[in-house]
Formats: sequence, structure tokens, C-alpha cells
Amino acid sequence: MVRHIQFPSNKYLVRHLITTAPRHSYHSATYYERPGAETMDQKGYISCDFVVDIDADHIPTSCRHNHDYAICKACGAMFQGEKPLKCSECESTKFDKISWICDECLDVSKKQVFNLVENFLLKEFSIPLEDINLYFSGHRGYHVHLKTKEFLDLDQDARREISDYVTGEGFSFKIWDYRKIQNNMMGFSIEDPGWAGKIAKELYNILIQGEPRIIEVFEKPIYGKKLNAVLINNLISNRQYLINQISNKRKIWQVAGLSDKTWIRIFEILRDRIKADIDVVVSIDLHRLIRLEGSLHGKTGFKVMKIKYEDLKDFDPLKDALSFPDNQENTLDIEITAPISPKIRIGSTNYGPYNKGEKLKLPLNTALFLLCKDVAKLK
Amino acid sequence: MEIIQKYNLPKQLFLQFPWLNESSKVLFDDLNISEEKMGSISLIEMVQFLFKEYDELLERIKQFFRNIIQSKEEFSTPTGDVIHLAMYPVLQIIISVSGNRILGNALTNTYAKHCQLELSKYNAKKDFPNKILQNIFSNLGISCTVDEHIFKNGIKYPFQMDFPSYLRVSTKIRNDSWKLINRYFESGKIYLIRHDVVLLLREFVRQKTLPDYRQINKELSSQMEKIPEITDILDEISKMMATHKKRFESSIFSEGETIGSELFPPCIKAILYRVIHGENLSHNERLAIAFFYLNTNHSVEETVDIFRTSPDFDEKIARYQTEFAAGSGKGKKYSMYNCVKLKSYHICRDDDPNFGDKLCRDGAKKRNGEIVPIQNPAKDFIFWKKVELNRLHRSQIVDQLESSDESEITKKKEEDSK
Ligand code: SF4
Ligand SMILES: [Zn+2]
Ligand SMILES: [Zn+2]
Repeated sequence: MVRHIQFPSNKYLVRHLITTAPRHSYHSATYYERPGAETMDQKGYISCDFVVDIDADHIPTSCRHNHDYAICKACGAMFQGEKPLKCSECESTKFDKISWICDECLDVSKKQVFNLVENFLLKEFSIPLEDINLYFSGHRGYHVHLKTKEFLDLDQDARREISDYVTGEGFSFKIWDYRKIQNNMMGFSIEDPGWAGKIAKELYNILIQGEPRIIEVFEKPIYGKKLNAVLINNLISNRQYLINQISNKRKIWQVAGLSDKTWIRIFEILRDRIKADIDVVVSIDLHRLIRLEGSLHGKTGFKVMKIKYEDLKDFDPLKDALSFPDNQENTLDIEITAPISPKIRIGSTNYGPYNKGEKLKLPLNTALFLLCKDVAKLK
Repeated sequence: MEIIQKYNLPKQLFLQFPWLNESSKVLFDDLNISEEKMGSISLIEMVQFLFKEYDELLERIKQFFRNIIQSKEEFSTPTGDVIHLAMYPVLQIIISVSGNRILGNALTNTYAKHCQLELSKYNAKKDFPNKILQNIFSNLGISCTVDEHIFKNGIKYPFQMDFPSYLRVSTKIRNDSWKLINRYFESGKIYLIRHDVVLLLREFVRQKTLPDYRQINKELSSQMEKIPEITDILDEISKMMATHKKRFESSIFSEGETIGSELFPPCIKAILYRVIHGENLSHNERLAIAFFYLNTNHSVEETVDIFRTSPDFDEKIARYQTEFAAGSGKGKKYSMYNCVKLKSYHICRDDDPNFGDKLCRDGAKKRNGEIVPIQNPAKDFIFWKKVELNRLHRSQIVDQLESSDESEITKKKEEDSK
């Protein structure tokens, strides 16, 4: 990796990119007095964009089990889904990974962007929409850059606080008055500001959707352990009572059989549904490298591009971020080299799955994608 | 009360609080010096000038140091006159020249406590509207608005601070209740009661009054030491410090240890560094360090010793808390906070320029190449640090072997060519 390069103007940057044609291009999200200096000390920190990274890579999705593979480096055995601890054929622990994308995971990250912007940035942080810069990362996620003065000047501690807020980290039940008072369990009111209110609202929304929804939410939480069936049943049989309490803004949520420990687990499950699932490490790093807008992502060949927030709803990465015109005539001859090349939609056509050794004539965008994913070679 | 119209604050406040942005102007007025003139004279000249103008200054400064060296972090000299203002820059310079961080932290504590105390006095007398607190903040460049009609859950929240201003200060208090997520936060504003605001101001004063140790270079410092009053004060400081050896000389890093400090994680090193330099720790920091010590085979005695350099050290309390953490009596021994907790308390220092550690930032690399994140400072950090040091040790041995091989070979070659 070549780092610490400084360009006097855009022209020089473009010339550099043309002559070196790097597979991945990044720029620093930080402003330095001397960006070309070798060490951070010499660079002279000025300020840094507040960057939020949302990527399906670190959000649990179920589609992963269908389209990701691990291939044993030693014997070539193939495993669908998550990488196993060791190869069941030869016991080796080293694997090559094929990690794919599909509409489902692209959608998950899009939903999280909406969650972040609507429920946190616009509403609670009161950030004007025009200050929110949104980019498609070129792969399976999005970057949000906040560049106004108040964000640029935040130190690392302050950045962590904001990330913690958005991800629901550090919520103190004690401080928010959740406790037992004379055998009554005190919950939260939907009128409480911030997270206490969010938790109350989320619980209410799930309860009014009825039994199947309650089971779904607490049996298959996004993170961590499920709630056991007896406890879920307790919740279901007290459903009407809790709905009444919450809608009447009463804070007493007394359900026999639900201990404070259980309630806290319930709140955690709710929290994980409410939070914006961002990559915290990116937001608190003051020396982060970010993909260059307008460059191509080296693992997909898709464009890293700025998107207007109002266009996000209809944005289709597999169509709108393609680097070349979607022209079926313009093709490339390739050969599949990986044991499997899972199905992918490019534009409005589905391609694959393909097997090792298949020789194909594919439209440019599709061929480029498979080459970048390292599952094919040029013929 | 005389109000300084330009800043909308009573003159009295500027005399009491030298850390306000325009307090120095009040001093210059008294000295009948224009701001430009003040800007044009050197630090040395300024110090000499102040000692010449205010006879009492020397004695007040000595008194200040007598107090803080005896862990009395309060002023026993008048705090509402121009000499109080003149004292401030001179104290800053002396402490920078001495380079002593224990004194520096004692100074910030003194000003911070004084600010809180005075503000609560005004509050008790009820002659100090919230508006004035707002003006103090705005003088310091922090936006804080007042609306007397805001109630939440039946409690009045007259102050509203925008989140960047709030976070600038609150994150340094390192306590759960100051986390944004545990606050009334709406439309970009944090709603605060008067008591919150006073505590935030106190923390802000602590940060603002911290001496800038880099401001004084060698040359300047030797020139300063030629000013008789300064030499006089420095002499007296070192005499007084000698009588309080335990506080000023303790060094935890070199004492016989159960585990070597080279195995300490960044978070713990940073807390130790601060406590050695006389900073008061937050409740969570205290617990973190106590849990860490107790979970790495240190005795209660050794653990209590850590806190001895704290200005607010109270043997009885420290011992009680440590024994509690150690689970003496019937309680169980508490395990160390994990990294997730420490991160949320802003205690993690993985990225710190002085204490940071790659192990914490990038995780540990297992033999099979798998990366595992560090999760607990007292457990896996120490384990992986040992592994890392062993690996390093081994590779150094290999290096040595290789280089000795090389010299053997060159020697042979030379012999052959003879
Ligand atoms: S990662 Fe853990 S051990 Fe390392 S500094 Fe942070 S809290 Fe301490
Ligand atoms: Zn195998
Ligand atoms: Zn998918």
C-alpha cells in the first residue's frame, strides 16, 4: 500500500490514478497541515470529518449462509456459510473465503442508513439534511460524512459518545429509573426522551402486532441469546396489560414471572432492534482512510459514489453503481477459477451460479465483478 | 453589583475567576496598561512587573504552594481582588518551570473547587440568576441557553447545551451519568439542571487551568530562575516538598511487582500515570485500577498504595473501598471490567500516543493467523502481551544467532582469502 501522498490539485491526483491504476484508492478523512509527511506527528492534525460506516459485513444477515463459502486451503473442501473452526475433511484451520452480496444484504445496510439518518441524525441530533453527505461504498455498504465545524472539532472521546448513543451502548437502567419499587417493576414512558422512550415505543409496537411477532422478535434476536419459551409466554399472556400501561403512559410494568434480569434481557433485545448498526471503530478513529469518491471498488468494480438522500430509496447499487453502460454487446471472455461463483444480479439480469472451469462470455460489468471477486480469470 | 457591560457579567466575577476569558483585561485596567502594550512585553518583563506592582503577591503565592503541598486544595488568601488575578499567570509559569505535574493538577483542582464553591454560595444567596451562568459559559466560548419554562417529569431543566459543547466537557468526567445516552437529549440539545451546569463548569475550569508545560522552554526557564522572587518561591517549594516525600516521590512502576508493568495494558498505564501525577480519579477509574490490581495477584496493601498520591487520598476510605472490591468479609471478589465497559467509560487508551498498544487496536494474532480482539485488560491482554514479548525475545535470539553466523562466515571468508 502506498500511503502519505499529497497532491497539489485535482489534476495531479487524476494523473496519478491514470498512471498507477490502483485497485483500491482511499483518502484520509482527516485534514492535516502537511498531509504528505510520513508520520502522524509530522502531519500536524487539524480536524477530521465525522464518518459513519454502515456495512452489511458486520451486521448479521441470514443470506450470508446462502451465498458465502469457505474453501479449505489444504484440501479444497468447500463449506457453505460461515467458516468452520476446522475442515471436516483434513482438520486444517486455514480457509479462503468467498463472500458475496445480494439484494438482501444490500437492503439491510440501506435500512440502517435510513435508521441512522431518520431516527438519530435528523431527529435527535438536529442535523440539517443538507449537511449529511451520503456515499455508496462500492461494495455492500454506505458512508455518511458529517463535515460541519461542530463535527470536525470533536475529539475522540466525544466521537465515542456519539457512536455509543447511536448504538445504545452504556444505557444505564439505574439512571433511567428502571427498578423495583415495592415489588412493582418500573419501566419507561413513551414520553421519555432519548433511549428510555425509544425502548418503550419499540416494546409497544411489537406487542400490538400480536403473538407471532412477539415470538419472532424474542426467539430470534439480532444479537445474543434468545428468550426462553416460558418467558415469552409470560409476555404474551400479559400483552394486553402491558399495552394498556404503556399507552396510558403508566410506568409500572409488573408481570409475574419476569424478573429484573429478564426485563434487562428484553431491553437488550429491543435495543439491538432500535440501534443504528454502525461500525464504531470507524467513527472514533481520527486518522481514518476512506474510499475515494468516484473510484472503483477493487472487490466489485462498482463506483464509489455520492448519493442524494432523497434518491436513496430508489438507489439500486447493482444497477446504479455499475461502472460501464449496461450493454449486453460489450463482453469479456472469462473462466471461473474458484470452486463456486454464486449467483449475482447485475442490472436486471441474474448470472450464475457458475462452477469451476466454466468458460463464459459475459457483459463487461458482470465479468469485471467476477474478476474483482477473484473467482474468475481473463481468458 | 458593578456590571461590566461589555460582557454582561458582574466585575466581581472577573476578579474571582481569573480563568474567564476577559479577566486579564480587568487586571490590565488596574495596572493602567493597554492591551497592545501588554502584548508587546515579554513573559519575563511581565512577571517582574507584577511583583513590582503588587507587594503582597510574593507572600500569597508562597501561601498557595504551602496549601497545595499539604493537600489543602483551597485558597486561604483573598480571592476577589486584582492580586488574585495577578497570581494566576505567575502560578502557571512557576509550575511550568518546575515541570511538576502533581503541582499542576493540584492547581487545577484548587481553581475548579473554588469555582464550584463560589457559585453555590451565590446560588444560596439567590442573587445570581441562571442568566449569569449562561454568560459565563458564553464568555468561555460554550453555548448554553436558558429557558426557565422547561420541565421534564416534573423537574425543571432550565439549561440547554448543544451537544458538541456538552461533549467537550462531559466526556472528561468519565462517569455513566454524564453519558449522552443517559441524558435528556432532544433536537441536538442536552437539558440540564443547575447543579449539572455547575459541575460541567467545574470540569471545564479544570481543563482550562491546566498549565501548558510546553510553553516554557529551557532558555526561558533559566531566565525565569534569575528573577529573585521566582528563585525564592522555587526554593521554598522544594523544601516543602521534601517534607512530604511520600506524596511526591512515590513511583509505582519501579516497586517490586507481581506482574511487571511492561505487561500492563494502556488503560491501566494511563490511570497509573495520572494518579502518580496527583490527579484525582473518577469513581470508575478507581474501581478499574483496584479491580486490575486485585485480579493480578496484588495485595490490598499494594492496591491502597496506588491511591496515596491522590490529592483527595483518605486512607480509611481507600482501604474500605479496596477491601470491598477484594470481597473481604462476605462479599465475592469482583472481576476486572472488560474492555467494552472500559471503552464506554472512556477509560480505554488503545490509541493513546503515549500508552497505546497495537495489541489493543488490532487484536492478537494466533498461530494459525486468526485475529482475536482483546477483551479484558487483566486476562487476555496480559496473556497476549506475554506471548508477544516471548515471540520478540525469540526473534531477537534468532537475529543474534544469524548475525553471529554471518560474522563467522565473513571471518572464514577472510581466512580463506589469505
Ligand atoms: S483494549 Fe482493553 S486492555 Fe486495551 S486499553 Fe482498551 S480497555 Fe485497556
Ligand atoms: Zn481440508
Ligand atoms: Zn446477501
